[in-house]
Amino acid sequence: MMNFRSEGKALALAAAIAGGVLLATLGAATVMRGRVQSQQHLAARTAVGGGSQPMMVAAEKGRQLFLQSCAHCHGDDARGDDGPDLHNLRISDAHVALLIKNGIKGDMPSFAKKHDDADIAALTSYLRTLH
Amino acid sequence: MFGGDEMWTRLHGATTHFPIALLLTATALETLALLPHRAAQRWQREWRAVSRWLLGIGAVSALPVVFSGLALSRWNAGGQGLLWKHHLFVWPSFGLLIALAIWRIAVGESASRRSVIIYFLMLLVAAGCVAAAGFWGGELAASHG
Ligand code: HEC
Repeated sequence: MMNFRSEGKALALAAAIAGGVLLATLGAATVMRGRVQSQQHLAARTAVGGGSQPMMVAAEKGRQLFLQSCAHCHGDDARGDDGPDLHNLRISDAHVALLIKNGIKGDMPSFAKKHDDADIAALTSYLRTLH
Repeated sequence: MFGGDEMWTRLHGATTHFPIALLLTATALETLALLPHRAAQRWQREWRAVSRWLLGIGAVSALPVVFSGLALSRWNAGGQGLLWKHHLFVWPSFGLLIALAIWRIAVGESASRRSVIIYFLMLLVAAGCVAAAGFWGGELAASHG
């Protein structure tokens, strides 16, 4: 077995390799992520024109909740990732609330335990700001 | 998030327990080796040798876990909410696991007592991180019904 007489050398070797692996991993992920996202954005841009609206307090709270509970499926900007794009929803507020509460079997979990009605109202008003 | 990525989900779930178990066992063995008790001391070299190799295998076994996890999250190494919490502990665990394994194997038995103590403390940090990463990973999996 290789036996470094100096522990310092071993430490330098360990730090260099571990740091290199970590950087390479995060770097590769960032590059891959960029590719995936630019594809998504292209698709989104062709689907809807831009446009924004001043956010209300509830909507801002809703955005925070969204980032916590929904973004890992619907994308940080709700443009869709594995779950669909949530811009320009065609379904009613009541229907949105029902979906959040009950989930969608096999596709989306139920949030009835995690979010109360006030949370769900905030989430809904956030989703309504997405045009 | 896992809808279209069944294969990565399975692979991540199947591989993820190896580095966790190996790192935790390696930590337990190093702890044994540090115990002052006679019986523990008598096997000290053996505990350490086994621990060293378990850690080495653990580091290698982490590679497919990280790869499948990244593929699963669509290469999102950061994220939000649960995914962010998971990553917050995953990356330190991964880096430490590799660094500690390489250092330990490179110095072999010739480490000074002081370095061994520092190594042991880092191992504890890594074990804590991996436990937290596993916990949030479990929460992520659970939130995907
Ligand atoms: C596990 C991933 C996942 C999570 C977490 C998740 N969703 Fe979904 N969501 C989906 C999927 C997949 C669909 C599409 C299901 C279908 O069409 O059958 C969906 C559909 C929806 C729809 C209906 C969209 C439409 O066009 O009718 C809404 C609204 C929605 N999600 C909101 C949310 C909100 C709000 C949260 C957070 C509280 C959330 N989702 C969390 C995966 C998820």
